[in-house]
Amino acid sequence: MTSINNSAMIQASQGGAPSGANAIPDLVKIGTIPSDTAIDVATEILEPVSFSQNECRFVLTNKGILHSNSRITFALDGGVGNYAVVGTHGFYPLNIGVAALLQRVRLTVGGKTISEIEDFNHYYAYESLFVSPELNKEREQVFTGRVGLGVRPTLNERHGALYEDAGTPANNTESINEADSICLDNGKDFNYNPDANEGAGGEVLDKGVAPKLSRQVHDFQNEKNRGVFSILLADLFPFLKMNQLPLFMLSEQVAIHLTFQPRVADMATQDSGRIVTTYDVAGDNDAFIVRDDVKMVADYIFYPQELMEQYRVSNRNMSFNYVDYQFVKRTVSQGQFETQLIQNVGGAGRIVNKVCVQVENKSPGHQGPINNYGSDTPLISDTSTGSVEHNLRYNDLFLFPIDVTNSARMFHNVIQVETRIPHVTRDFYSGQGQLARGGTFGNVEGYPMGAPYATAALLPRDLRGRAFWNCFRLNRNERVNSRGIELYDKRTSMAGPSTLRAWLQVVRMAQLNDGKMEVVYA
Amino acid sequence: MTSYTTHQEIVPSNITSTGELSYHNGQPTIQFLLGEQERFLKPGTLRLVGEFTVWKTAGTLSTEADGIRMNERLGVNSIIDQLTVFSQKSSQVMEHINHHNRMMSSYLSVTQSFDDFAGHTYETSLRFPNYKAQQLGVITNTQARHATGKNEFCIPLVCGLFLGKEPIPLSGTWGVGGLRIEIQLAPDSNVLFSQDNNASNLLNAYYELSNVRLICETQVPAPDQLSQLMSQTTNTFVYNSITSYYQTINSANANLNFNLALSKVLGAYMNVVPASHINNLTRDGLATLPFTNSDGTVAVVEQAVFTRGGERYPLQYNLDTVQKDNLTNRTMDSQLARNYINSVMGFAKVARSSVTPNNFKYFNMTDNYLEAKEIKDGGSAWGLGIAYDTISDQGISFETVPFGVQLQLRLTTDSPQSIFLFVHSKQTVVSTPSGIQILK
Repeated sequence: MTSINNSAMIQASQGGAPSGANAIPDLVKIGTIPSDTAIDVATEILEPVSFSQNECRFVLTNKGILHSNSRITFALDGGVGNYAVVGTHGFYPLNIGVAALLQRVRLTVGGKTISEIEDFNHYYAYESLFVSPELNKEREQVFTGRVGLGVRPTLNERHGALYEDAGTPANNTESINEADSICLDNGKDFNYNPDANEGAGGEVLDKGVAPKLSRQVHDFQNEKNRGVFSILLADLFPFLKMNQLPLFMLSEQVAIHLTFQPRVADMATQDSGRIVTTYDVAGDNDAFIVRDDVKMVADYIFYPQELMEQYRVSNRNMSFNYVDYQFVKRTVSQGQFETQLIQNVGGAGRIVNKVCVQVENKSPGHQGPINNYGSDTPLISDTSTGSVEHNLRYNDLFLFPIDVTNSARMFHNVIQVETRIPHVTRDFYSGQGQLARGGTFGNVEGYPMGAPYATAALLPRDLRGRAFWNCFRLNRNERVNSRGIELYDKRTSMAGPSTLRAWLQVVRMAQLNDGKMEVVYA
Repeated sequence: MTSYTTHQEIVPSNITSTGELSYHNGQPTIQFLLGEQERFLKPGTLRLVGEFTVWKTAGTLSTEADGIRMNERLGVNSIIDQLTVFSQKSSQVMEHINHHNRMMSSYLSVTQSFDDFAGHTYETSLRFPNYKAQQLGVITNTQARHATGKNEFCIPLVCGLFLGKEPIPLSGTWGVGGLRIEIQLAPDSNVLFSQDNNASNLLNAYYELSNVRLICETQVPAPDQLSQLMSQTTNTFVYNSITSYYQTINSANANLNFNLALSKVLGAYMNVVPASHINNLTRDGLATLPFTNSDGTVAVVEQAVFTRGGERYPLQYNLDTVQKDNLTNRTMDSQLARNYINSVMGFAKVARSSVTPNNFKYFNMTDNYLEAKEIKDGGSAWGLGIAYDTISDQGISFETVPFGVQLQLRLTTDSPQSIFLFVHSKQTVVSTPSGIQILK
């Protein structure tokens, strides 16, 4: 979602406002309050009104205006990994952090769904592309547990091994100046020999010990340490990035429903959608959410009482447009993709701004450090990459005059849709960079960035071509006709069946009449 | 019916039968025609799309052992030597940038961070902040695009006209009458060079473009807006333009003087390379090095003075660097760096930059310049510049007075230094049914 799109889309139309109402600032729209207006912020810690390992629900207090940067916190019980094995860590998928726990999020007012995102953790993987590597390193690792997909050239200068023991450069395959590869950057140096040093409480290479080029997650990200991470309300419900909920004007119950990613019984296959463990170390248990740490830190904004009352009176009947997401998911066979998939993704009769497409082509145990929260390219080998050719058709016309085949242009299209930049390097987007390498070239938690195809055991768990998200902006300012939107997508060669997900950003309209909210599609 | 946009994909009007274009094979120019139409061009959407391949000899991809390199800071941007934008209707030049690749080197250094450099620009422009990694990932990449070695790219055509946010009217009656965009490709000898001063593997090496397209979005005005536009007899369109100049210096007291003939100059910046490195198979002709003596040692700048009509302007004082009092000091001079960054983009607006103390500092080299590639953070990003107006955006007039720079530096040997100067200024296009007029 972009500020530009939203500013165009979310235009509050205030019906029934008396004369002089324009003098009242729009309290709901973020960024419109004069700086000299007195503001009070009250923070409340809300417990879920219901909780299980499958879902939980928060009910908000109808007071003030809900700040969109309120957060919901989560923590695990520290029982995932076989932590008796030194060097074993459990951590959230590196690209989405704690959002891996959330399979579906829903905001309701009086039982009516205002906003809902299905397969939220997957959608969050897309949204996370737009967080810059600097922010991931400095902020998001602490808040959400996200490491992101930012990379650095792998250089020996960062290993420190030369300084620790210049006589033992055995595993140093990189030089000080020449980088043959890239590695995810979480702000930590490589851990030279975690097996030998972690138990002793140190991460410094002992003299004479050969380095081991693997970065590790920070201690606070290790599930063993039961770190508490949080996620913004505005991330859960993107329309809150532009609008705030005027709770004081609502007479109905406002609730947030979170459906958790299902747990799995058998961790041996590393099929948990909630957590990742160090390479080749199966966890003992799936992640167990600690009820006492699931809380909502709700910030309520209060303006001077007379101002809020004026606003309530002048906006007794208010309507505003906002965006919500329709979701389509299906399994696509290898043959369908390779001959050309023509998939109706819905949207009939709706005003649709964009269509975001993910193709998941990994099987359990092969997901790697980002679990299955990636959008995969066709098969990549050490000598070749696959090809993708796509287009979108709606209202009897194709979006692009000629099908798009150039991966760099597909990347550009994502930028154009979002007016934000996906911070993804070439190896992770199109898989064509040849810098994500395996083995001794720099790993994260033992996971290689890439691998020679011949090393089949490594291939399914690397990061090449795993951020190949595609997004289309419907640019003709038209309502989609009854035929809906068709995705034309041809991919060669695929590794078996894939899961196709598509999120359609549709425009909806909320109407607030005397404290009761109704929602319709625009 | 409201205004809407459409995608356009334009094939070069001088495309070859094979769809491949290269300087080496006699196609140094790529021309695109964006026809006269009752629409606006959305300049931020314009991209050059295609595939980039480096051949050691025709049909043979180079290997790492061949040691063929290109400038890692520029990536595929290094292939554009000149960019010219014409009015298609009147063939008048709206903007012409010589040494476009060198302009891009400064522009990209200042406006994109290290994470941009290693991240998304590797996908779109094949840039990467390490010479070896860029070589392995682009030049010797055999895997890309179904094992053809073709590196896909999608780059903006950076010039003042297309950097603007205002839609460009393409109409023949109320606009510029369509656009003709010409790209002059850089010679292979200035794009490709040896990593170890050994040109033997580069004698027949060349780069090639394939599947080249220009893509953009055009905005179709709503009927009521269009009828208003059609009734206009004249239309003005203001844009920022970039103009380029070239000069060499070879003395310890260098004076540059240019008659810019521009009325609204916003800033001027320049970058430097030894003249002998240009079109040299053993040197990086697109590097942005500091001044260097013939033995590769740096010629530190002790003082810089920017003048307008012979008077110090806009700084009323000399820029005395930290090297003035200590010639052995190799650290970056913060005044030079600050003014350089400020001249490319308002200092306060620069949120992301890869000009760092590592790559703006002086770095002694030997006469083969092999050490240049070892400068951290993507190689040297040295430059000089001065901003004239970062507040009102109206610029300063150099219409009748010359622009000047006086440099006092330790250039004590016979080592001609090429200086590429880029001036950005505000210009206005006045379009009438009989043609367009550019007010500089």
